[in-house]
Amino acid sequence: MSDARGNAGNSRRVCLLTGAGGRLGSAFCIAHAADYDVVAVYRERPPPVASQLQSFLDPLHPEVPPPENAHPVFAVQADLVAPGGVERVVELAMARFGAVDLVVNAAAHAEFGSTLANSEVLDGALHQLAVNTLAPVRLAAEVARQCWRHSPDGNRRRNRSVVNLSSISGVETYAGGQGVYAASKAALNALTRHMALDYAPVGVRVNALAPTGFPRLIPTERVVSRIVQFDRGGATGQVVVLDVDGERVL
Amino acid sequence: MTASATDPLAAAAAAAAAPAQATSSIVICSLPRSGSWLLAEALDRTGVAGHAREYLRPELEQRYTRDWGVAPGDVDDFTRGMLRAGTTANGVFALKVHWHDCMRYVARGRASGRGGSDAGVLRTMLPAPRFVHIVRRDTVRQAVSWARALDSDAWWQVDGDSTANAAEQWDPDFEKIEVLQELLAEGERGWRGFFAAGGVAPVEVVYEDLVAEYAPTVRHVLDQLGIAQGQDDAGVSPPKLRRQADTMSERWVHDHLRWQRAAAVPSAPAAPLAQALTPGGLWVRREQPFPHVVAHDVFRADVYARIEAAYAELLTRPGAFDRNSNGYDVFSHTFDAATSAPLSLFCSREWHDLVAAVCGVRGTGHVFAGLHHHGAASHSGSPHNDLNPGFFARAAADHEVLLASAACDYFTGIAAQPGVVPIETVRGVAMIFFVCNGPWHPGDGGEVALHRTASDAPVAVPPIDNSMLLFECTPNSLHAFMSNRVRPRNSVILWVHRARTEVVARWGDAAIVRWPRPRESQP
Repeated sequence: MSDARGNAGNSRRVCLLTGAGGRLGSAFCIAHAADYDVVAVYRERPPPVASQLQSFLDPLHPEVPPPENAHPVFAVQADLVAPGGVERVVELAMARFGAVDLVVNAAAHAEFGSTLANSEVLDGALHQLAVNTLAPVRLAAEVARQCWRHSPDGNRRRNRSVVNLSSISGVETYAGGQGVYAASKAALNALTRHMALDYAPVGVRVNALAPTGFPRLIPTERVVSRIVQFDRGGATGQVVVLDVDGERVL
Repeated sequence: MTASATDPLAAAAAAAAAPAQATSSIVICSLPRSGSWLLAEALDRTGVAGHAREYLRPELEQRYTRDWGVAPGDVDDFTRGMLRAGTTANGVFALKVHWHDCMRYVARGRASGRGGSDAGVLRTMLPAPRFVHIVRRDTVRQAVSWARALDSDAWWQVDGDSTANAAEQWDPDFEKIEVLQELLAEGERGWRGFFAAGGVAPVEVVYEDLVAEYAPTVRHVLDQLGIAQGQDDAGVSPPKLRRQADTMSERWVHDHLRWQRAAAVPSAPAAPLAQALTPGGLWVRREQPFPHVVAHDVFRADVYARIEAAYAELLTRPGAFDRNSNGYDVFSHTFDAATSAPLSLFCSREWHDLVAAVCGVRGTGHVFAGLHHHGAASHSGSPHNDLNPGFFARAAADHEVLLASAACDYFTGIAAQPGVVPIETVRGVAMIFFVCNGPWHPGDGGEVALHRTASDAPVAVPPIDNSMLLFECTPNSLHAFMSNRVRPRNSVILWVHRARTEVVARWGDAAIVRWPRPRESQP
């Protein structure tokens, strides 16, 4: 027997991914649905991959499933800031796969505008902070409560971790009304380091990725690859900036 | 008692009056289990419409040759014996014949020096033949009935028999039923070709109508044949032959339909369509809120450009579109036989087969298609499921598409031409292909709303050019047009139809949504 969540013999890693319908989440699903059992959490549109909700067909041979259907993700529609939203997502993930090895917090909400002139941005600030900063923390905590808390050895054996998708906006200051968004990501960076301390006794690593604009400045695939690198590595408490010059640990 | 003898009307034949000189003939053109014995009995019992039997069954030829004392192998002598046996006192001879038996007889006629079309050969062998074509709408039940009769050797039941066959166990071979169904289709194609090549306009009788409206249907046949009965209702007495189908048959019909759905492996579409589609393009089948397929970049760019140009030309052509859908905010153009390329691609059998296969529906070859133009700011529609009936003038052959036409009102089934026996089908697949809309942005509206229930928040499928929505029409395929706030919305709309029996077997007759009056068509 390996850990309390009954992962003996299961070599496929379970990835709980939020923001799965967004650009990064979709790219992750396309690239890695074959490598992970993916719980793809989305708000409005599911990722464009096979799931229990959708599959692909070749119109000329509809009876022959294409390879794209070989690794369906488990798509879960959820509002992570609604009451009970996070709990429900984790319950579904546990019900479906029995454990979670990797949490990728990629859901984000960006609303730009000057804090001086634009009252809408301030009105929406709490929502932006709730989605970008608090939801990742709460989701990880809920996974810990339902899966990780009582099995530190099993967690270490499975090299379990959390990757928070931050932004270079949380590190550098850019014009263009990114104040609230930048604050939400800066807070996430700080929280990531503290989460790493909190989760160390549980045997779970926590890191953050702070990429520059993608796909405009760097390829989305590079961000996806770095998430997987975090999952496979041993680092914890790192906030890694990805930009056109390469990467650096803050 | 069930009977496996060769002539269910033997008693009537024995009691027939002395032979009369035949001056005209009735040929009942049938297929196995089409209800032709029921019709033959009905005509026989009028006493003025010959004694229709299967005189040309090969297994009976030896017996008839002996009974009639005719020269073995002499087709003309055999015909004379047949005319003596099958003619009523008024000089009307009647014959009931299956397709392959008829062709065998015609071949013997040709071998004796006759020429012309098959019907022409028959006209030289029988006095003044007129043709009655009996068909069964429900060929699945027909094939099941045939299989069951073959397996049990019980071909009919006569009223008054005390034992029913319901208790007998029957273990049907679904593949055999499938083969029998194909044989029935082949025979049906044979008859239709026979009529067309011979310039024959047969009196059409539908088995289901004969069962439901026995006396009026028989009277109609007699009227069409010009056979006077002398007085109202004379001779049309209740049938003695009893319908053999029972709950077990029905169960096997259902099971067979299920098997057919599971076993259906559609053939790949022909090359021209394959070349028109975007190479390697995959379509997406979504399960919520009800199963549907969304395809983007359906056609190659050059093919789409031609479709768009043709659509744009029709939009500017005066009178091409009309507002013919009462209560629905749309202008329509309906495809017909004159629809030309590239829009005729949607009327091809290849397209029919492709969309039917993608949705797992067995299409009947019947298609209603056209264009829908919603002017900017058209009103939203109400959720509806498209599980509506569609009437067509005839059955479609395996390789053709039959479009709704003036010969038969698509919505009511009222035939506009004599001799047309409308076929009722049900919409099986709905298609909306978006064209001529320009760039679409969220907020523009014009989407198709897909609902789980009429009051739920819908999933919206946007009208993106060269994309398409397909779904099987079911009681749950609730959808509606969403108001297009910004720009007109244009689309090609199409329905592939399926056998009504399938729909009834799956969801019951009450699930079919009858057209309101005045008629109303929505996409």
